[in-house]
Amino acid sequence: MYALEIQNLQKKFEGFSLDVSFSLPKGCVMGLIGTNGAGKSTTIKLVLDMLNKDGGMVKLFGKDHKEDLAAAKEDMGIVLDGMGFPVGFTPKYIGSLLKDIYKNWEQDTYCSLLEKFDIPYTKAWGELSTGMKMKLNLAVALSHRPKLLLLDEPTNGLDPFARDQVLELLTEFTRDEEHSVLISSHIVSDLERICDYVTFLDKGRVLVSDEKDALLARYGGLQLSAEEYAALGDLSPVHLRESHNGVEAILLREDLPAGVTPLPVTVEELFVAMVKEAREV
Amino acid sequence: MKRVMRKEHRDLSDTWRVVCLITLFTAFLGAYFGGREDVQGAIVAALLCSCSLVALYLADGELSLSPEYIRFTETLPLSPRQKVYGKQLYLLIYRLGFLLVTGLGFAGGLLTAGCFEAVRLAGFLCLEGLLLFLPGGLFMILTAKVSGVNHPMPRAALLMTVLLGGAFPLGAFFQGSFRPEGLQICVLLAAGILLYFIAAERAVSLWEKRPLP
Amino acid sequence: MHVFIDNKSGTPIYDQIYTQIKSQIINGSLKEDEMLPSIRGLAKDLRISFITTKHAYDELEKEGFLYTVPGKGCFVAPRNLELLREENLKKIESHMEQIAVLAASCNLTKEDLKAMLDFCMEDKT
Repeated sequence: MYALEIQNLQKKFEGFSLDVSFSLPKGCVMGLIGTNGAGKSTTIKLVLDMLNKDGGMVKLFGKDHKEDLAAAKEDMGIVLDGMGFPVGFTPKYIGSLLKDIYKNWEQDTYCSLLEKFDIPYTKAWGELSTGMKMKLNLAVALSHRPKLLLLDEPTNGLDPFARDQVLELLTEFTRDEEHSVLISSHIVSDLERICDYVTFLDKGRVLVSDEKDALLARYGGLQLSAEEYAALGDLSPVHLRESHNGVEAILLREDLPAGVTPLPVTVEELFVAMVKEAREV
Repeated sequence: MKRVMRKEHRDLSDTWRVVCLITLFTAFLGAYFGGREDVQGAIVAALLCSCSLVALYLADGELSLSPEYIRFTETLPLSPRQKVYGKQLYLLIYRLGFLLVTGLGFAGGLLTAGCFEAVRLAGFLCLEGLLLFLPGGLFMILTAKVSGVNHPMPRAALLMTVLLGGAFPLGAFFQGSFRPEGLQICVLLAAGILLYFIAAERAVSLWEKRPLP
Repeated sequence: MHVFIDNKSGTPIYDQIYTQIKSQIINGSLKEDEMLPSIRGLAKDLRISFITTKHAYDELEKEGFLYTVPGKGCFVAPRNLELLREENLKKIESHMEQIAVLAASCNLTKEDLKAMLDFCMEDKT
């Protein structure tokens, strides 16, 4: 059972083309990690039919995304980049507005989230800080019993404490195995721990999409002097960096010679390594 | 007032206060000057009505939707028809319609009043101010409730048309300068305005269904 | 049950969980038939992926340290001395494999190794 399935989703713009495939199993958190301009926001917009796709298939909760998208959105909490409200709207007003729009709007949940995030109930949108605006958007997204969260850069502009609050919230959200999250970000460190799956995106293409643990288990890191590295023979690293300090390499564990214990690789390191490799080719 | 003029501090509640104040102000002064049987009085009353139009402009500014907000409405479970009411294009048509209503209503009022008598003109101008902008103000308050997401536009258009189409002949009747031919024109104008709004709504619906970029 | 994750250690997280739970079972702080936190619950409490905790639980179940009751949860398997002994034998075997590999890479003979082993075991027995 998949919350979201994307197959050969294509879109062409002037100077940029997108062709992606990946799927989010139900009950999981997937980190969509990409550089700026990689196509993360474009992908999310295509899923939501805000842009017309040139080809491919998108399924939300097992149904084609264009089939009754309005009903699907009842079960989706969405936070888009550059999303907001008119300057005069207050959180109170927004709540009164949305309770007539969403079938499952929960005013109690909304109010307790506002309190948790320290968002003043009657302060106008125009007067809120960037961080508060983002948190308000998240509070709205979480207050109508969504089953799938689509979050595009939700931690942008948030201080470390607020980021922690958000990640805590996402963790709690996915305690229920019916809940799924697709979170796109370029701040990888936030996602490292909580993601079950990761998809790396660069220049409109998927570099890899896999279970995070399985992916990291396949790679290892080496930090050696130039001589030590040379002594290991001809390895084919995914990534290699030579400096006065020595050699830093990331390679597949199966390519390592016996007896050499590699260092663990983080998602961030692997992502950077893969992007560099993809661009050098 | 200053607060309303500075764009960054404009908020909805401030603008309503200004609109209502200006309308009442116009009506009062119009009635005062209208008591004078001269062209000057009429001109002053006309100028005061223009202030109402300025107030309208300010209020209208509040209905402009930022790209941020339009993006937010994309996340809501709305049918394409419902989304129509939230779009800038619709607001543009609404604004044009409102201007049309003001102009035609004004003309209609003049025709029914037997226009060139200064007293009645002044009287009508302030009556027009009250009748045009109060429902307009009410309409804006109603639409502000969902501001762009679910405009009760056709209902408001209908309300305004009936008020205009009906108020002027009534006013003329009470002022004693009722002209039957003017009434016919008024009814035609009212029907025209209603049709305009309905056609505009349909056109925007079709426009919405066009393939996206 | 208490599990602590050390982000900075080189050990994979699932391994840390696996090791900690196992030792708590072995030393008795986790009692027989005691219910363990659910895979998802533990993951969320530790703020990690549930796939990681599932991996740890699967390993423990495979080795007979816990059992699953469908619909109810995971429980500590009855203490099995045979199992513990087997555990330790496995560990020794795995260490031996590593020793063999390392020895080969620095050209140690079996005799060299035996001598080293005798030295190590002197103060243990």
